[in-house]
Order: sequence, then C-alpha cells, then structure tokens
Amino acid sequence: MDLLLDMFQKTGFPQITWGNVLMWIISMVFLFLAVRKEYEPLLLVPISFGILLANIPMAEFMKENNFLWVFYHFAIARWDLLPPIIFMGVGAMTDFGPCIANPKTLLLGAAAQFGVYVTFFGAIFLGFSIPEAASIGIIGGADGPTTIFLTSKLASHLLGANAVAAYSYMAMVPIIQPPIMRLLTTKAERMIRMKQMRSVSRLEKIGFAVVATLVVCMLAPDAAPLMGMFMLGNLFRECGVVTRLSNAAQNELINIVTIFLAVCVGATMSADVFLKPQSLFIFFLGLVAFSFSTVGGLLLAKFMNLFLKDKINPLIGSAGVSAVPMAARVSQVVARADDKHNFILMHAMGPNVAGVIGTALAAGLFLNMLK
Amino acid sequence: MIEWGKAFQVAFVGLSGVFAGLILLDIFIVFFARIFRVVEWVGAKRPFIEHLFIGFRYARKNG
Repeated sequence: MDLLLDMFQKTGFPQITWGNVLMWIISMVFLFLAVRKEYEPLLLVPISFGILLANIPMAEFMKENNFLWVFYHFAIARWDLLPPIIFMGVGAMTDFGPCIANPKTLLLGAAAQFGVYVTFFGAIFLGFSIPEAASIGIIGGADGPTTIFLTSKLASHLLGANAVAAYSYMAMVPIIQPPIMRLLTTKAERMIRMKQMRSVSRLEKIGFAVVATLVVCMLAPDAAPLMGMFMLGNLFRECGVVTRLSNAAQNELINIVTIFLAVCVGATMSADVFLKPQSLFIFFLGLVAFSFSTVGGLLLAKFMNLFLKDKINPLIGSAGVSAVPMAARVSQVVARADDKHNFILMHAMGPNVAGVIGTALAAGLFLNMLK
Repeated sequence: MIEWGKAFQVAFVGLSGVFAGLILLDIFIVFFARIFRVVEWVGAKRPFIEHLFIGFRYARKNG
C-alpha cells in the first residue's frame, strides 16, 4: 500500500494546480482557434501543444537540460538561431517586385510602425520597464519572428505572452483592420484605382537584395541577423540558379524550424509565468499596437495623396503592418467591397513587404539603444 | 520611477531611424533602377555594339 501511495505521490496527479488547469483550458482555446477557425494553424497548433506540455506537473519539459529547455535555451534565448532561419524562409517566399516598382510604398511600411511606438509609451504608462515596453511595442509590427528575436534579448520573461499575442493578432488582422480602414477613409478614396505597375527585371531584384542588406545592416547592425538572412533567402529566390536552396529555405527548413520555435514559445507559458495581470496588459497592448499601426499607414497614404499626381489608394497603407500577405489581402477585400473591379492586391504587397523591413529596423534600433 | 526622457528619446530616434532607413532604400531603388535600365539597354544593344567594334577592328587591320 505504501509503495502504491509513494508511486501515486510521484505522479503528476497530486501536483495539479488551478493554474495548470487554467493553462490547459487556454491551450485548448488556442487549439480550437487553430483547428476550427484556422487562425494561423501552422503556429497556433504547436504553440498550444507547447502550452499543454509546459503545464503538465512533474513532466518539467522546461527544466534545465530537459528536452524543450535545450531547444529554447540554445536556439532562442542564448543564440537566437531560430528567428533568423525563419526569416531566411520568409525571404525566399517574398517578392519585392511591387516594392521596387513603386518605391514610395516603402514609406507606408515605415508609417505602419507608428503603433510600435504608441504601444511602447502605453506599456511604460502601465508600469513596464523601457526594455519590456520595447518588446511589447514590437508586437505592432505584426511580425512573429522579430517579436521573438527582440523579446528574447530584452525581456525573455515576456517571451510567451508577447509571441502568442503577436501571432494571435496576426491571425485576427481580417477582423481588426477593416473597421479602422472604413472609419478613416471615404468611399471615394477607397475606390481610387491605381495604375498598373511596371515590370521589374531580375537584375533589379538581385540588386535590391544586396543594397537593402547593406543599407539596413549598416543602419541597425543589431537587426543584421534578421535582415541578412531575410535577404539571403530572397537572393536564393531571385538569382534563379539555386532553385534547390530556395525550395529548401521556403519549405523544409522553415517548416522544421517553425515546429521547434512554436513549441518552445508555447512551453515558456507555464502557469506561474503566464497567469499574471501583465499578460492581460500585453494582450490589450497588442491590440492597441495593431490598431495604431493600421492608422499610421492609412494616414500617411492620405497625406501622400495631397502631393501626388497619381493618387494612391489609402487602403494599401494599412498593409504596411507586416503580416504578409494577410494585410495586403485585407486591403484588396475592403477595396473590392466598394468597387468589384478594383485590384490593389499587388500594390498593397509593396507596403506589406516594406513593413517587414521596417519592423526589423525598429527592432534593431531598439536593441541598439536598450541592449 | 519612469524615465520618460529616455523613453521619448528611444521612440524619437527609433521612428526617425525607421523612416531614414526606408527613405534611403527608396532613394537607392530609384537610383539603381536607372542604372539597371541603362545596363539592360546596353545588353539589348550588345550585338550592334559588338558589330561596330568588329567594324573598327577590320578597318584598322586593313588600313
């Protein structure tokens, strides 16, 4: 009997806490959103399972030298390997053609970082320290790997909440953005048709990868791992002679890395770390960040129209948040609601990919000043 | 205690830096696009240019 009792004491059952149960429920909610609603399933499925694993009493996946801890500690917290590798894959999937054809859309990518800085102040106001506020603000960039990259360096204890907030809101871009877009634009503005873009040669795309790497890495050296890998992936795609490398970067490599990154991020959300008022604040601030980033892009597009001969549809401004290609698709859907024959998707891809560079720059500059 | 001064400095430098970086990139794209168009034009005219040089060489060789 004593043996049985002793064995029972060594199982996880007597150690279950209310916190664990609550985290299991949160994990199931994320799993539901991923499977049923298909909100970013590639990320939310492993993240939700990571949450479940981290909250199994006695299993201690994140205890020092245990299975997930090793991945988390070496590949994220200590060496920051995984976010740049994901960026390589994203680069291999990105076409900078629309951005090169209409370079003024780069400014919209910059304006859509407005939410990052508004949220930065909001977080400080709610009592977070400056490095913590920076890591929360970057959620407004709508870029998961950059959020993880910056948070792991500035406020690693917020990694789980920040990453989950970033990915959750990225999945909710089609819900968050349209009301703001309609509120800040008139019907006439939404119906502006843009000229067809010029074609961009392969030489220009290769040149862009090299020049963008040099400019961004020199301006914000701390963002170099992200931008360097992003542009390397893009060079694989555009140079046309390393199809195998390009395919590997945008398929196998990014998939494998996503599994471990997402599970580890989920596993950082143990009950004792996550169940704090500050997690709720982070989710609230994430929403603020996304909203103000959308506002920033829209307002700059409207402002640019005061000076431009060929007007731009302000809806492409909201695509400056770098949720690629979701934000650009949302611009297209909202534009088509007023004019069925208006196609602004490719125009919206310009600020969309510029937003990725803008967010990486913002993260690099935060690191430069706060590391 | 909240260091508002530092926070404003970080935000101002950060946002200016993002705009500076992307404006710089914009300028480079416009600049290189022109150069690349010239390079591509020369590439397209290459047979004609080569033909000219062959003509010059032939003329020099044969007086």
